Amino acid sequence: MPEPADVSGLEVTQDLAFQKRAWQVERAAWVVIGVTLAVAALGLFGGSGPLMATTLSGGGSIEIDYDRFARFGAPTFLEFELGAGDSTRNVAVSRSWLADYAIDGVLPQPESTTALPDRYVFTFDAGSTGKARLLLTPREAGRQRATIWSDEGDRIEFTQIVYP
Amino acid sequence: MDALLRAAAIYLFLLLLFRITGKRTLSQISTFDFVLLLIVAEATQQAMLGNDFSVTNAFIIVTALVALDRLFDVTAFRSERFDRWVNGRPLVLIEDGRLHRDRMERERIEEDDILETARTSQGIERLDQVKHAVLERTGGISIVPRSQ
Repeated sequence: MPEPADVSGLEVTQDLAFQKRAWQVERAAWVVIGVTLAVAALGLFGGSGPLMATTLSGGGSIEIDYDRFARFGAPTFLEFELGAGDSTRNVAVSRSWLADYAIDGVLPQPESTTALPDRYVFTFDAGSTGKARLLLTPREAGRQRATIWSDEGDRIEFTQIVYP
Repeated sequence: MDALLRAAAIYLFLLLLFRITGKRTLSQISTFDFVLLLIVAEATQQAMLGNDFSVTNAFIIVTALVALDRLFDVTAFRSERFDRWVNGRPLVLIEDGRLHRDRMERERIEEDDILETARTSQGIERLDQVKHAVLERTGGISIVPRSQ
């Protein structure tokens, strides 16, 4: 502690130079807080917001929806369009990506799930139409890279940022 | 390791946030501040524990927080600069009867706040009976009355 100064007879360790700097830092910090909240409202920290959801297409045979930003331990999803058809449809998801997630469910229930060395293949029966959704919970934070393959061989690669 | 990092991250975040938002938040507990503290406690609890509700995890987290607190305390004692930035410095608001209105405005303190403290701590009736008023590092206001 510095030696107290005499301020009109009062001994006090006041430091006006430091106080002015501290007020400037406080003002700057409030700007940072404002920007952080604005960015959070836009969805850049996960949750919800106009910049959260992303749709990607691959070669015309596959389209996916996913959250660009997710949070560790908070639910997220991967959705892909099954389309109409009279035969089974397969969608493959990279194994390295799914290894960092807990799969909470697949809707509709696939007919089967096959584990290959580099991917999981979800097989949906001929009666399933519309969108299929993987309900996921991230178990690792960081940049998570994924690849999705369709039956026709088209692929989509994307990155999801998982906040801790 | 995960529990330690969570506890440290939340401790540092709250320390920084309450340091930035001003001293009065910690000292002057209004209804708004009380509700805020309750909600902050609830919001951070789950983030610290994660999915681990074991007694072991709780012991680790509490020990980590106490150790961090002590570490900051010791560092503040040894480093004047660290102490200054983390704990702040007292600020004279009334100097020999003269109000420093610019400082009061910066700290969002009104004459009423000073009068309230003067009444409760010293039984003072009027502002001209206050010789000095200091915004202490804790966020409280201390009053030195004029000698009669």
